[in-house]
Amino acid sequence: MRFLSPYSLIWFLPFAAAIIVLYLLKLKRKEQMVSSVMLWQDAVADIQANAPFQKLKKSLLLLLQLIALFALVFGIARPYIRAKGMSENKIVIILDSSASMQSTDISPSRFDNAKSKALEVVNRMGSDDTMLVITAGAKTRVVASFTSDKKSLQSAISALKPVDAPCNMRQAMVLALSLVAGKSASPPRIVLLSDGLFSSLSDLSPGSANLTFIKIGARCDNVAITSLDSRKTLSGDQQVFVSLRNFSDKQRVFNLELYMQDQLIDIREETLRPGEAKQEILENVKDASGRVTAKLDIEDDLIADNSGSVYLAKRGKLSVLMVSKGNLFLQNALNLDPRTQLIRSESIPADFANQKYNLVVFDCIAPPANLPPGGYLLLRTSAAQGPATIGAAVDRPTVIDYARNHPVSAYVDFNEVRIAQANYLQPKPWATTIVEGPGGGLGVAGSNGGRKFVQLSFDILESDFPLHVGFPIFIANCLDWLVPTSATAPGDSIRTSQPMYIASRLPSKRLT
Amino acid sequence: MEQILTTENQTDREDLLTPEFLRKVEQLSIVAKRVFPGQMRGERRSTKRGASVEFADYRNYAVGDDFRRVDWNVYARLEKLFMKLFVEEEDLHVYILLDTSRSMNFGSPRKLLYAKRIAAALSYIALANLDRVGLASLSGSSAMTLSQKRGKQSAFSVFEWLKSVQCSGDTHLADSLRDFSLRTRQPGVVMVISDFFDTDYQKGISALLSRNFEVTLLHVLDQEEVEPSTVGDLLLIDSETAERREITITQTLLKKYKARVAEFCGGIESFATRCGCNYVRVTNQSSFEDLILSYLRQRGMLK
Repeated sequence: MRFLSPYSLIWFLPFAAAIIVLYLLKLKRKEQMVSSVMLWQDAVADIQANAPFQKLKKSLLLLLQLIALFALVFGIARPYIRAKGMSENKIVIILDSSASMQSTDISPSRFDNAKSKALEVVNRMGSDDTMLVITAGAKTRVVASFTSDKKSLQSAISALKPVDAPCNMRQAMVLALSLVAGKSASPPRIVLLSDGLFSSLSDLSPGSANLTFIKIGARCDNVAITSLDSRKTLSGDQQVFVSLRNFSDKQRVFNLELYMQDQLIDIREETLRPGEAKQEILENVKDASGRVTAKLDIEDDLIADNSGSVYLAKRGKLSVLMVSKGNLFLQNALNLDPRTQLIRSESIPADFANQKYNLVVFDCIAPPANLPPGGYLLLRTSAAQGPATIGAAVDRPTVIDYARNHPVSAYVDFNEVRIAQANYLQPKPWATTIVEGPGGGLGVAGSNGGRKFVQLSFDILESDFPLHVGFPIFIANCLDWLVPTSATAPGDSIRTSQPMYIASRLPSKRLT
Repeated sequence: MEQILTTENQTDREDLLTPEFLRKVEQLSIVAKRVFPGQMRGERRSTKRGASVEFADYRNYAVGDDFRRVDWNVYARLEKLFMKLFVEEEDLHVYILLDTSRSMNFGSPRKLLYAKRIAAALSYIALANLDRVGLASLSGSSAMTLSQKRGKQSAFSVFEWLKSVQCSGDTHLADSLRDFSLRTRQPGVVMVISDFFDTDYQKGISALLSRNFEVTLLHVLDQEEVEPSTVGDLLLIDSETAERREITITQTLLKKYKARVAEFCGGIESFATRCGCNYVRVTNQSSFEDLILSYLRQRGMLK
């Protein structure tokens, strides 16, 4: 127990003294005649010294008055007790805002329930406590940083809305644990409000934190489109792939409807036993572009996953300019990609600056001074805006290391590559070395100012690189990495329910 | 003070003793451990030689002696004249001293009434035994005496006198006992009936002892004085001195008080033992008849 104004307790002393003095003064004695006070006198004599206290003994009224006074003073001192229950020093609320929280199995929805439970926790906060609110959607978001202001916490929680995204609880939990880490007087508290539909977190240790999991949701009556995808067949047609799953414990019969730009193109009757998953493939969608929507004609607890859309794009062509005196290996490797529209030139074309190429390969020919934004593959040459400057020449360098994780050099084994002659490259700060010789870089990749570069410091014809299995892979990697995704239109690897991040070069803060 | 005034004027109108009780005590007599010289012929052995049936001593014949007292059997054997001496039987002086200070006016029954009954019973016993009885009331520093009485017929005048005795004044036992001892010529048995609420009672008793009295102390206490039942904040008023004393009676104090009472009584008793006096302590709650008929007999003061 603590007091908000402990000094008020001091008032007890003067008042108590006053009451006691009044008692000593007011003590009304009953007169009694005795035969002789002789004996009493002697008996009293040795306790005369503490007589006032003797007088005060056993006075019930005095005791009651003192108790009443103490109660008053105690009240003035404003005592408070820190409840052990729900309030601690640091509280982190993790609110699952994933799509599954939109389920209406408990009214009005799981998410609204979670919100009201979170508000309860806020109400029970102690005055010294600080609270932080995290939402765990596809991305973890801190909606209110550590504060003890209940109003701001309440408004932050009330404003939350669920998103149609999966739950990345691991990220949220790691964030919460890192935020509460460190010394504190009482163990921090993490309150997790979720329906429990996330992958296991058993490998995370809560440390000193008290983890409370409040499960939201009662039942799971849901049939979902778990994935929706499209791919191009070799014939150029598109296939749409839909996988369905029945999460409920009842057999469900429903229609799967497929729309192309809101035009119904197919309808199929599905019967799913409890827990069953099923895949459907919509063949032979002609080479059309547009939105394909799959819808489940069913009523269940979660509506968000009853429909999904995939965007079918016409595959754009990649215009690749290859400036070379002649390199058959390179030419073939570039042509392997069906999207490639290869333009060969022995020298830099006159209208180079006006043409928009997705990718320009300079094979032993120096690029012009001013390169427009785009992708560039520099082979034994360098550019002013390029990722590296050319250093000392070296004969027969051995590759001692290469970046296995870089998208350009992934799956390519440079260790076995024999090179006749090369120059060491000094990468610029924004570039990374992807192939490393004993004295410096042999291959560098990097992007700067809208230009993306991959630079190799050796002539591939003076190496056995083209004869390796890794060469076409390297070229394909270069194509994928150097050519911006927007150039080929939305790719076919964007899935439903997966968030897509769009890089914005615009200076504005808001995109519509 | 009001209370003091009302109780002072109270007299004991009821009879002190019942006729049945008087019949019972007629058989008793007061025991005197020593032999005292008397004034008149009585039933007690006296220090004098005289004409009783009890042989006392021989002495040589002197000219003029009564021939009837010569022991002729001795003369036959020894051819010398010896006189036979017999014990003289005289009366015993019994003095009953009653403390009539205001402190005796307490208790239920009042200590004074209780004391009066004891005095009445003892004086009746003495009168019935042809002893000479003197009564005195001790108050202030003097002793008011009733002229000595003898014979059962005097019992009524004694009772009347006792009834008329009232409480008044402080106790100065020392002074009043000394006063009594100086005024009394004949020594005898003295019975002091008092509550001994006086600090120097010992001087008075010493005065009696120095005049060769045989002293018996009858210590009369109120039950309330021995074990007080009142507790709380009191203003005690001394009945004799009107001294006021604020006191808060608690269990602790009560314990101390009782210890003090025991010490007080023990002090009197040990003083009495040292001086060869009898000491009997009674409270006004103990049965008066038992006291006279059995307790005093057991203590060897009556037989």
